[in-house]
Amino acid sequence: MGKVSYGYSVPVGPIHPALKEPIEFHFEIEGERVKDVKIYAGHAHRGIEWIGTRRNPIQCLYISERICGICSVTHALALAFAVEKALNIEVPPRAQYIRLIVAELERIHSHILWAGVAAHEVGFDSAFMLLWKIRENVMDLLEKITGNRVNYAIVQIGGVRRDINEELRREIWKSLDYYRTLSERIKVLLLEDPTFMMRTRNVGILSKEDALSLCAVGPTLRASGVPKDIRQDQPYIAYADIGVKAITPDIYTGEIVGDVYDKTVVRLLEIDQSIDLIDKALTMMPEGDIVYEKNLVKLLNLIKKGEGEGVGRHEGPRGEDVHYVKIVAGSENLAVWKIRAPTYNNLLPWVPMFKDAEVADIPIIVASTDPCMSCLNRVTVVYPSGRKEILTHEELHKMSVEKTRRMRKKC
Amino acid sequence: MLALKILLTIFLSIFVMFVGLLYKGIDRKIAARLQARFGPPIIQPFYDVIKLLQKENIVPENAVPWIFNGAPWLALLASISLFFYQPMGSLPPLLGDRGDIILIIYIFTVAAIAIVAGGFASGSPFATVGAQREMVLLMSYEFPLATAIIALAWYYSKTFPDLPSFSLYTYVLKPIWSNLGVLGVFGALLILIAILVVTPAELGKIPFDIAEAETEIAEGVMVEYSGKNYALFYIADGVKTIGMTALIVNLFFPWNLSSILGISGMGAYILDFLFFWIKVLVLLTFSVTLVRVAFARLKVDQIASLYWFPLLLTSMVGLLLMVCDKLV
Amino acid sequence: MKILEAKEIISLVKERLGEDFINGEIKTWNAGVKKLENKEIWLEIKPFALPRFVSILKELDEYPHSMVASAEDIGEDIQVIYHFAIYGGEFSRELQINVKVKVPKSDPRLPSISHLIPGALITEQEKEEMIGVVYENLPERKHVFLADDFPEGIYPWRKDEKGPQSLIRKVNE
Repeated sequence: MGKVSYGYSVPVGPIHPALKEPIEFHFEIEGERVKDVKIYAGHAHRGIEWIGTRRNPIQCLYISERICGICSVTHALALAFAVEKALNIEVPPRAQYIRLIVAELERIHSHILWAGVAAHEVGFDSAFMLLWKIRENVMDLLEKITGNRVNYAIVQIGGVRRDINEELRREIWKSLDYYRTLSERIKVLLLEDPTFMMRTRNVGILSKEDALSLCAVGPTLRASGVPKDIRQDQPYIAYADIGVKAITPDIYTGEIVGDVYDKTVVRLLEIDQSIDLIDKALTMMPEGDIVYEKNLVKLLNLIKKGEGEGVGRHEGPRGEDVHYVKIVAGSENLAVWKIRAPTYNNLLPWVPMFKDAEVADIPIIVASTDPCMSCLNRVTVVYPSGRKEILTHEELHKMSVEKTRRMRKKC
Repeated sequence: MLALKILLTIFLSIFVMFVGLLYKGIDRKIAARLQARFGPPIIQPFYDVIKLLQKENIVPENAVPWIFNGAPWLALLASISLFFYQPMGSLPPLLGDRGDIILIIYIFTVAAIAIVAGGFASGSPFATVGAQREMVLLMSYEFPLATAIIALAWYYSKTFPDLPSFSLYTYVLKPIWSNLGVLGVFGALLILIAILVVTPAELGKIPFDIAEAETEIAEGVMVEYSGKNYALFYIADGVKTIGMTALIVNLFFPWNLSSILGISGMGAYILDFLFFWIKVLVLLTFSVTLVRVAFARLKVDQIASLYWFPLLLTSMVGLLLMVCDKLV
Repeated sequence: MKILEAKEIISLVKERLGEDFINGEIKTWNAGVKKLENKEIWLEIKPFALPRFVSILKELDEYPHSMVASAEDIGEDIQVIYHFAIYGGEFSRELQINVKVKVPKSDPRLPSISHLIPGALITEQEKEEMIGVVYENLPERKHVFLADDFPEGIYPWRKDEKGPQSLIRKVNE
């Protein structure tokens, strides 16, 4: 007797309303239950690691910010750490505090954005609209501090590029008060809503063993009850002074399930934690320089002479972001640049989460790890298969002109 | 007389399409204000339809063309014919002698079946999943709805034996609340709740929009529709929405202004007609728009269990109470 | 769980691996105004001692966290660096362990560690696609990270004739 399957395969992606970025899933489905899933990544390749080996670290900083729009300071910070460790550059204390403030502001905006997307995935559009409206405040604040809403361009090798003055401090405090008043209401809006609870409780459960053995990172791991957080485990920048406690969902609910609801709880509690961290950082901020070496030419010479390798880690909104950098003497450019974005490690945990899920749960499970496909795919430019020769720019132009003529004749 | 009826029918069809789209616009605007957005202009649905009618009508390669193209027409005609059997204000129903409340329930089913057929005929896996979900939804809400209608009809047949108990005009002439005892009022309230919960499912709106869940199955049954066909479905949706709310208005809120103000003749008809549409709008806002913005989408099994157990129980208890009210 | 110091870990690995241990060092870096010290371990071992090394890690910490493996083309050899972290979960307790292995390009075979740490599967898959290291007994799957029509035998991270030079177009001329 062979195995009889009554199922059918449903492709989700690369382009699908539930996915904000391209990735491809193939679900084997029986009725409304998922039996098996295959994941295909690689629809957003830009070849960033390869590009990086042809640029110097300062240029790479700006490229790294463009790996992903939402966690932009995350990659820049991780790269800066890696280069600083490789070359033993000391970062001034004030710069470490400013880095912390920007990183935590970004965490607030990213988590609110995620909560909105999650609400949209379960069809709760009102919450989505309201949350994104709330998020505008922190985006404006980031623009005041850095000059940009996204891709802040504030991190520099050995420090930061802009200082926070008295006026900005007042602005930040005003914003923190705004979020303090709203954080309770956000929790009520999502966590106490009966339909949201029905859709997220006991959905996409990731057990503690699976999370640990599959090396999940970030809120995905903490929601399963593992108190791991790089800000706590290996304190870097100003986190070493302030001290961070990893957030697990039992603080709010009293139990650990590891489902989508718990992931929501972790993220919403982290917003409160970020508010406290920024508050402390603003009061404890020492005076002093904000960058190790202001003159870029001198800095580049230092990089050219220096040699070494370093691993930079930063706890981004989605989890641990790792950059490995190797610098060899006599060259400005990075010899090796390896990026490991959080989503990369959160791919495999999807498989146990999808097991026996329903079709209706697919979007919210995909969204629950806060995936960032652009972070995941960073490879090389390729040409379409089936062509022996590569079309040059002139040929393409010629073809385009010919097509225009053909169309004119038809008219 | 027949010619006048045909003329009136044509006029009524155009009128309900117009009102359906207008109320759709108002619904969208109110929802937008509730979600802290500005929202589209109120006549946006008209723009949408005009634009869709100019677009190319694409039939997928692996579709069944005649069903695929026929389903939108079936849905639209079914939705429009809802109004031929419904009184509006103090106007008797246009074809009241040919159909009653049972027919209306059937027409709703036909409109849903049209969507299912269109979905299955598209040949897309998303549409197939959506059509299956629409079927499940249909099976879920029909039972409570039928129970509720039966309860009302039985009550009327016992109270007014000489009037046709399934005709909607009876309900307008003799408003239900004025003839009930204490138990009966509770029973009628339970039945009203049951019908109000059925409404969003009947119309495929959040929290019961599983057949067209955008984030799950990419607009489900509608995924392959475009151009004229989609415009027909779009209008059908608007007409169906006001059709369902008009039914509830006729069953439970049939009061008219003219008798209170003491107006008679042509003026009374016009006044009651306008008041009827105002009632429909208010009920639409409460039963569709507010529900739509306040909830998340439920899952198929959650919906089925909700309708089969709590809601069926509600309408059954309503039926029981009304029976007790009559017999005790 | 007994927490070992960085030095103790290096001596333990050296003792267990014996011949296959090449060298090990500790790097430190500071953070914050208080200059809190963090340690990192950098080891180099022979490629086929990897599974044994991971078993040692599993004795120290039940679930070692595999961050990623970075790879580099260094002329004749390919150097793969595995980044692990153990002892997470308490303030400033985590240790980062980086292990280098070198395999010759003529025979780029590495033992898989995904049966010990399932989470390392994805990074091994990536190494196969990107630099052409061959892992033993890895489940056969084509192109997780690259497009399906990517030409065979070309590895984007190679700096030799197998590199991606032939695919690069100047788009801004």
